Amino acid sequence: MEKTERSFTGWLQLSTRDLAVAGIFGALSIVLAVTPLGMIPVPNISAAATTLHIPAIIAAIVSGPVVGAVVGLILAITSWYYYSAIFLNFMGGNLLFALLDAFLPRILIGVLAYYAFRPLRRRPSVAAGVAALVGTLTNSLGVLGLLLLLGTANATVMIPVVLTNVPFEIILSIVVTIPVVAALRAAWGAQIAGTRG
Amino acid sequence: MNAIPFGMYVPGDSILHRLDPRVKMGATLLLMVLPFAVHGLAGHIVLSTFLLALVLIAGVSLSDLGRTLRTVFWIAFLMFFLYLFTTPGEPLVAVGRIAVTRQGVLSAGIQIYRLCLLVISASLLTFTTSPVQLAHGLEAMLFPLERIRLPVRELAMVLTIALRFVPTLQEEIDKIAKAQRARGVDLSAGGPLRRARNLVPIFVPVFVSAFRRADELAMAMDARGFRGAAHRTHMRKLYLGLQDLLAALVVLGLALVTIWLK
Repeated sequence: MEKTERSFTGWLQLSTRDLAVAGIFGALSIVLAVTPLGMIPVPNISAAATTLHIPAIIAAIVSGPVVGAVVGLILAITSWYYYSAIFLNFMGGNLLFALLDAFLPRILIGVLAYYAFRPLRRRPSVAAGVAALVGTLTNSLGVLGLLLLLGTANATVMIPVVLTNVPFEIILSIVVTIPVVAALRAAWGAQIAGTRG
Repeated sequence: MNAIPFGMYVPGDSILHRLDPRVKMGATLLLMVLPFAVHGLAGHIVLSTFLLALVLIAGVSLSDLGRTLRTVFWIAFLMFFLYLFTTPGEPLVAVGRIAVTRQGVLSAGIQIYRLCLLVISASLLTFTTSPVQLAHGLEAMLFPLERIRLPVRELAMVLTIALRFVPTLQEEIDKIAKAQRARGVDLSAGGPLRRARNLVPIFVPVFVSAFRRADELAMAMDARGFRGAAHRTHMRKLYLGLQDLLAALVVLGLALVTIWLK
């Protein structure tokens, strides 16, 4: 496809195509949140590893860090929609901290995943794997880290839950991201932002 | 288009359903901070009574409320035991070095009570406001951020696209998952690596088709002369009415009274 119109005034430049990719991948992360595919059963205490951050990682590789950040933002809004009570509870009623914990790590998933992918783009499979690893750690450890840093003592109950999930989430996101990126490259090679240049 | 429900919205015609989403979002945030700001027993009684009254007014069934409370069950369970066993004070039961104290029982109870209030406040918003209304309200509330040149309209456009495509993608994922299950993919079999690998035949087609849709959508938008979100107008505009003003005043009044009560 040809390069699309860029008529926006903000300092974050988004083309029509970026809006479309961000919207559809955002929809994907909402859909994963409401279907069993978002929570894959694994044998541990919370009995589920999340795949919700994978669209943000892949959107970032495909369309760049800003689109990745926007998909992360939609993921954050979705998780605020479902779990605002939990964030506020662990932050002891501090609304600002709760919002920061729900939004910042999610917005950064795509940004950090893109910059992990970019330097390794000559070896796309390795790059996709590293991006998946970085994106997943940004999500899980970012949310947990801010929770422990800014939250009340309550937040310690999340340590075992998150830490037992992290290895599964890493495996899941790497095993899924590598073939997805390969398939997208095979079909739309030249248009995958992270692999250009 | 097939509208597949998502989110927790329960359609209805209560006064809470009809309020402006901006007022409801603001009021919800205030109601969720209140349990931490209220310190007196009387204040808590007034607050809980008010919330229960809202649940009744909204016409939310107890089973719906129970379903949302269940989502925090494990966290509540873990928190309860954390407080029960780690709060120092006057022991009630002691086994070796582990003791359950009076203060422990009390603070565990308070924590659970507070979590329940938060969940009820949050779900009052989500039960009475459709995701589309929420997105519309969110856009209106974020408007001031355009001053720092954040692309609020573009973000709103992305959110609109996302909400529009949720039912479509939901149907598609369902179809792909069923097709792969019919070929013998089992999501709950084997160890972690095997389970992750079983997801590949579902995720790859889902992402490829999502990307194809995005590609087509961008082309369609360009073909129809889409020139950025800057000049878009809304079919439905949000207006603050008398009932919205009254609702805001009631919640503010409640906040002041419950904080003031000892």
